[in-house]
Amino acid sequence: MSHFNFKFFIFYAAAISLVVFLFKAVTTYGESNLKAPQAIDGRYRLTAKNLTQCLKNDRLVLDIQQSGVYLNASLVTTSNTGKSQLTTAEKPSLTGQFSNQKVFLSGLVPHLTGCQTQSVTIQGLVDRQTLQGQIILISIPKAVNFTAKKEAFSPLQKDPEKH
Amino acid sequence: MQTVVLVLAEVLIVIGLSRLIGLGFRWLKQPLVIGEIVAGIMLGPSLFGWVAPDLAATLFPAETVPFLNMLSQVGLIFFMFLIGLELNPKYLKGNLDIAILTSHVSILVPFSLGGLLALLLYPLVSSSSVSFTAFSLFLGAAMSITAFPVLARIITENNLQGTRLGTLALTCAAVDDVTAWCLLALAIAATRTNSMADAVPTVLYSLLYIAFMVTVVRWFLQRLAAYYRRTGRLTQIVVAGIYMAVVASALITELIGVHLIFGAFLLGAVMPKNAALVRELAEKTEDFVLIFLLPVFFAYSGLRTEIGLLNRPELWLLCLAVLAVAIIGKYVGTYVAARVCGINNREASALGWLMNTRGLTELIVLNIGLSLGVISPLLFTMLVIMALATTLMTSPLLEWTYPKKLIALDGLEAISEKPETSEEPVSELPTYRMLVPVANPSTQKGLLQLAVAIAGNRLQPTIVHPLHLIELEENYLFESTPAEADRLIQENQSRLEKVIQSLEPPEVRQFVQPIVRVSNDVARETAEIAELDRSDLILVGWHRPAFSTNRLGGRVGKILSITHTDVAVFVDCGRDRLETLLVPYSANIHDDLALEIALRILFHRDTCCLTVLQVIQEGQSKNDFSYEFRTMMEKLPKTVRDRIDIQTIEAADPIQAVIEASQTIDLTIAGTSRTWGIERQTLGRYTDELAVQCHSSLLITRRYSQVTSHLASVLDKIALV
Repeated sequence: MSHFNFKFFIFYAAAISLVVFLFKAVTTYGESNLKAPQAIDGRYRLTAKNLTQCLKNDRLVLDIQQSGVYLNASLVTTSNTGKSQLTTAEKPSLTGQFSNQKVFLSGLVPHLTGCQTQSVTIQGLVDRQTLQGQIILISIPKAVNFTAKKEAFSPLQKDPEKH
Repeated sequence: MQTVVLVLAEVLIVIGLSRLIGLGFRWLKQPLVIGEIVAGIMLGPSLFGWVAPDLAATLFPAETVPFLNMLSQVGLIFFMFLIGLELNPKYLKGNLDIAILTSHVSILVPFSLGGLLALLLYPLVSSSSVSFTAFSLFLGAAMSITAFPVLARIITENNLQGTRLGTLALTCAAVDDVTAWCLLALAIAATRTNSMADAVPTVLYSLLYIAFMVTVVRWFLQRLAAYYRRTGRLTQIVVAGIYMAVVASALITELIGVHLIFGAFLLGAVMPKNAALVRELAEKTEDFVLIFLLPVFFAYSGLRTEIGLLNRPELWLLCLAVLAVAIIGKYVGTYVAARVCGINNREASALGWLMNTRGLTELIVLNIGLSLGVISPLLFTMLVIMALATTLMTSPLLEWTYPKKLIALDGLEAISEKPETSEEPVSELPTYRMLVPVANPSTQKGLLQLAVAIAGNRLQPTIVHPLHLIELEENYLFESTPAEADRLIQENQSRLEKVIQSLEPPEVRQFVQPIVRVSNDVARETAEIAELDRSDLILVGWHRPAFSTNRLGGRVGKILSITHTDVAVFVDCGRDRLETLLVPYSANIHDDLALEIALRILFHRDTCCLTVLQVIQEGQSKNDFSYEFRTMMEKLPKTVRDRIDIQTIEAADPIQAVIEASQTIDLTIAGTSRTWGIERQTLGRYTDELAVQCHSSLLITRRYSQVTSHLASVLDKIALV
């Protein structure tokens, strides 16, 4: 019985050491080689010249929800701020990706009056709190440059754990 | 004030919906708690928020979420306390070395795989605010969880707690649970300090605290248990003290740097397992926690689960990868470890599926992760889906690898192999088997007495199985834990034994062997046991259903409609005598059964006499008795035939005629034919008249199988003698 126990013990020690070693190896590799995307979610206030048609609104806000490299966003105006502050928020209508500081989003803008059926593409670069890029509305082939600054968190804002 | 009103309204919706969906899942033979989890998810953005966003936003606005969080934290603390209470060292008896090896391998494998999975997931779904170490630790811990509470209930419901598989699974899960919580504590400490090295002081403090709890506090609690044993009551001040201790312990562990729940769990675990104290404490605490607070936790968790986030095919692929890693890690790990320890293929496989259950415990872990920011809502949702999927698959897969038939058969064989205590050992196999469902052993002695009169032992070796099924409540109650279920089974077994020992004459006691089991569907289980045991006859007492005027509906009605065995329903009028029998006869297979049973009683009771009554309505010619009837009568020995009196009377209303005749009778045995006003299938509306007005006790017989003989085949053998 003690013979069995000893073998047991050896097997145990070996198994645990193996796992610890494996874990250490994985974490070392991970820490040094893997980079997770920067957190860029939040609300960005858009400022642009030459916005035309239904996009013409000086209170445009791009609300980005991020899950790693996958982005979901919606383009809203600050007039419907109240509504979009809720826990069960309305479905984001833009989807896209974020990699190497580059943002790419496309989709519909149902929250803007007049633009309900039009699709929109947004591309840009993120530099700290600022997103700079171009917005293209399907009906206007010309791209419009914009700059967006991230809004600071307000009391009713979603807390960091949200997206 | 407005917010409070809203929160209370939300709680109302949450509790109602949880119960509803929980019952739905119960019907699907899944644990009730899964239904509650799904109800919570439905209330969140995954369903409610997606289908009716405005209504959802009005009912569940952001201001109410912190309140829900508060309620759910309180619920969680006390729930973990209850879990700790249930963790009985008794489960760790036997197979300890196999259990430790299997359970640790079943943690190491998924943990490693989780770490590897982290390599894939980190760059895709994490963010730079979380270190890779914390992320992979957490993911590994999440993969290694086995839900001990859900597992314990599944085992109890399948009556596995006495088997080797059951005890092994429980021990493994208990060890697994404790180890996984330790891993989680480590992960939390690492997350809060963002590195392994900085977590060391937290670990040290935790170990110190555990040591303190296990020594000092445990000593104190043992004094408390002694006090309880002396006084026999749990006073409110003691309960207040215990609850305060729970909260204090939770606060201490939160201060140390691991989560609130560990303190509560630890206190529950170090409570002395004096059964009565624990039971009373559990009963006091569980109703409010399980019915009110825990569903709020599920709703809170559900509000953070957003299935809508998985809006791309590659995200669903990732989800599938998570699920695959989880299943493979647990199942393969457990299976291989069990096989290495020498456990057979089927049991090892069943053990693997059992350990794969993640359920509620996983949800607690995931919520902590989400609150700490280690995982994002997307990953949270994926892992919740994984937890649900793995738990949902447990019951069906367990049934597939280790079918109930096998378990039940083992149980029955064990019973019939029990050594006989009388001088006359039953060496032959019983050829006549009776199943007697007994709801309340103390009050149904008459039923058992009738059973032995019918079965007897003179014609052929028989066996009578009084069957008592303990119906468990569908929830997480303390009484559903294996240890408690065992205790209930023992209790009812001894009650049945007492009644059996009082049966007359004494020789009959040896072929009466009770079966006591746990079940959540009494009618179905009765039918299944009858089938497995190849019973010749089910003799059931009449229970009055609560909401129906149909006198023989309810459980008896269900048994009648499900089972494929001949059934006799006994309506007892309290008379102890069994001297005179009456069988109304109308050449019908059910009446033939009634006659056979009556004849069996005649054989076993020398002083009994039988009247066979044929009722003819006006204008009808005299009915001939059936072929079976006549052949049976011919084969009867003289001693029995002498005690039979065949009468034919003319009457307009057969039922009234029988009622008249029953005035001088002890037991009337009637078949389910229209003539006597009894429907064949379910003993419907018409039964009332006969059952209510009959002056004697009534036995209603229904034949299912044309082939089963209760007497005829035996008569042939006797005739030769």
